[in-house]
Amino acid sequence: MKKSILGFFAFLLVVQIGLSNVNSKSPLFNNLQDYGGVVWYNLVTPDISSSKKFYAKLCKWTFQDFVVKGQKLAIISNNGQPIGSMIEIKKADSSAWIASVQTDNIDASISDFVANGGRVIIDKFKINQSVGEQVIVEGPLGEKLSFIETMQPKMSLLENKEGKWIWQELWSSDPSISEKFYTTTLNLTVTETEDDGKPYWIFKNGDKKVAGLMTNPLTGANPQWVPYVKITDIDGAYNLLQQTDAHVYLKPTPEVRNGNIVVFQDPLGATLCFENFANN
Amino acid sequence: MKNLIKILASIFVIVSIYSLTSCANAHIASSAGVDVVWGSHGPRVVPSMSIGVYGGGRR
Repeated sequence: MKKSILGFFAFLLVVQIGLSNVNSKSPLFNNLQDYGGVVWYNLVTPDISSSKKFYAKLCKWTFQDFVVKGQKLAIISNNGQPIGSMIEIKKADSSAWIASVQTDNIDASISDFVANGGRVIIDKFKINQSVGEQVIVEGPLGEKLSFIETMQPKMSLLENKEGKWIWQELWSSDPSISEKFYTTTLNLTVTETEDDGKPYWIFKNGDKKVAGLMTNPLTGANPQWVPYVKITDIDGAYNLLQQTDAHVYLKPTPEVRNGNIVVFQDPLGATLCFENFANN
Repeated sequence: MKNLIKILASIFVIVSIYSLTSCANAHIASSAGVDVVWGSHGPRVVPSMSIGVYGGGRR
């Protein structure tokens, strides 16, 4: 419990300090972005040096390091654009990616989230004047995410560009509960599809696809939001993964999305997917 | 006698090295819904994925 509390306080620190520093040096938001999706990812890791080395090798990301009161953190950039941050929590049991969903009314989002069965883990806090406020929450099945309200222009990371976040997916232990919860609390609609007999739900904001939902394919793991990164050379990425301590859950195989996906756990425990998504 | 001990010690070290090397990236299946993998930092427990359930990816 103490580790969790320490982790979350450190997580707040990286968000506050990290975003403040990025915002002062380069624009975090731009007019290509839009509401309704994940706009930022944070990696909590017990070994930031190891995590940076791993993701630099796999995703070609670069990092801007900070040390604040002895706390190591880094802003993640993809091709010069900040897309997330890392915070080192040495006592953390494993690493984990936490998504931030944009809202234009954080109080309403919190109220709806709690009223429908979610809970607040960390009360809302102000990042800075230009970015806005953020809150850390947990869905009804234990999945964690955060809301961020900003006065900045609309933003979204769902651009189909190499090295960027291109999708997020909820791996749920009960999709019917998750569907009802997120359509209600985030004011989304949902469309059910089926590929090879596997049901899949697409959350939409208007006509814009913002996230997916499916039954958790992992046994022995809690429900979680899982990010996808655009990597064109999936086979090359798989070969690189095999040279690391990452654990590959799903190697590229023609039976699954024509071999354009690899799913893995990074060497410190965070789940991530690489996808060569061709259609825009 | 000393030479014999040295030879036995050397054999033990060599066999140990080969044994540990064979543990690298070893994958041990379990019946508890998790697997144990052996990396450079030692063993760790990881969830197991049901390929028949996974149908994810951007739409």
